[in-house]
Parts: sequence; C-alpha cells; structure tokens
Amino acid sequence: MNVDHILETLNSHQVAYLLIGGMNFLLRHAPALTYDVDLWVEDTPQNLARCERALGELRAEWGASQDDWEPVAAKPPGWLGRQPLFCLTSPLGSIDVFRSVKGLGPWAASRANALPGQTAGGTPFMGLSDDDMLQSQMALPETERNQQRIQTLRRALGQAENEQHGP
Amino acid sequence: MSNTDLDDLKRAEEQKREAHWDAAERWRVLQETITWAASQVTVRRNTPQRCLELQAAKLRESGS
Repeated sequence: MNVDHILETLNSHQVAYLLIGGMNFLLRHAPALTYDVDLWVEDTPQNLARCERALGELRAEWGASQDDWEPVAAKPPGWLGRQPLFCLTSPLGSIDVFRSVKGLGPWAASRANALPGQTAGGTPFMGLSDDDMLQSQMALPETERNQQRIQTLRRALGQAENEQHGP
Repeated sequence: MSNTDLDDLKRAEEQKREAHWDAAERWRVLQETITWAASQVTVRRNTPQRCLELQAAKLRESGS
C-alpha cells in the first residue's frame, strides 16, 4: 500500500479528513501491524462529494452487498451518505472511511485538536490527536482494544503533561 | 445509530471486504504495505527519544 499516494490524492481533492487508526499511530508513535488506511471525513455534502471523487480516482471499490461490488466511480453521486462507515478495497490497499467515530464528538472538535504530520516521503496530513486516539480506543469493545497502543498513548500523554507543567 | 449498531456495521463491512479481496491481489497489497511501513523509519515520531532530542536542541539554542 502506498499510503502517500492515498493521502496525496485526498489532499489534491481538498478533502477535509483526519488520519486515524493504525496508520496514524504508526506515523506518530511506533511501527504497528496495520493493513488499512482509516480516514475520518468531515460529514458535509460538499466534503463527501470531494471524497467520492478522490476515492474514484484511487480506483476504490465498494458495494452495499457482494453482488453490487464495483468501482465507486461508477456509483451515482451521494453514495457516501448512505451509512456511517465504509470498508473499501483499492489497488493501493484497504481504505476505511468513517463519517463519525465512536467515542469522539464532532469532527470539527477533533480537527481543532489534530496534529499536523508528514510521511517520510513528505506528504502532509492531519492526524487524530493522542488524546482522541486514546478515547476512540477506549470506546471499543474491550476485546477489540489494542492494549499496546493504549499503553503507548498513555505514556505519551503523560510526557506531554509533564512538558506543559515544566519550568 | 447506536454504538452497538456501529460495531455490527463495522464487522459486517470488514467481512464483506475480506470476501471480495482476490488472494493474489491481497498478498501484493500486503507486501507493498510492509515495504511502505518500513520506509517510514525516518519519520519524526512522538517518542521519548525524539522528545529528548528536541529538548537538547532547544537547550543548545537557549545557551543553557
């Protein structure tokens, strides 16, 4: 998966998104076993339309069922409005698109706390903050939480607090 | 939609996608993902080591 290409395409289409999940953790903290790109997109008609165009350019595919799985470029505009989240395939890898994230409030609030990042290839992105990453982990069913990720995030947040309260 | 419904939808979406992947294509994508992840070794991370490096640089700049 060339994550740079996915992010570059979203950036070029001016999609308002936050990188969340394992890739955000991998880029911000430590290597993690993750095989998809998780994106939280701003849930407005204009932004969803931009996102649909970007996903079309990425040759992503999705279907409401196995029977109508097809390139999203072939779907009528507005398909991203039909449900809160989508798991897509693409030649670049799996892409998950969320219109809301469990455990977190409005997209704009998390965007305000998001952190700018850059891949090793130089592609800029906005990633979910450590605090929000931890909150979204804790909102998962206990059996699905990533304990190693939670420990790393807690350590990082402790360091941040110490820095803020330092001399 | 309730949290339980969201969990169920996520699981259903993942199962649908997994069923759709062609095995050879999936393997190619996984290999590419590992290669890309390995290339991120130089990215600036929020680690204790990185924080100490930044702190040292700031101390040098301030002449401390």
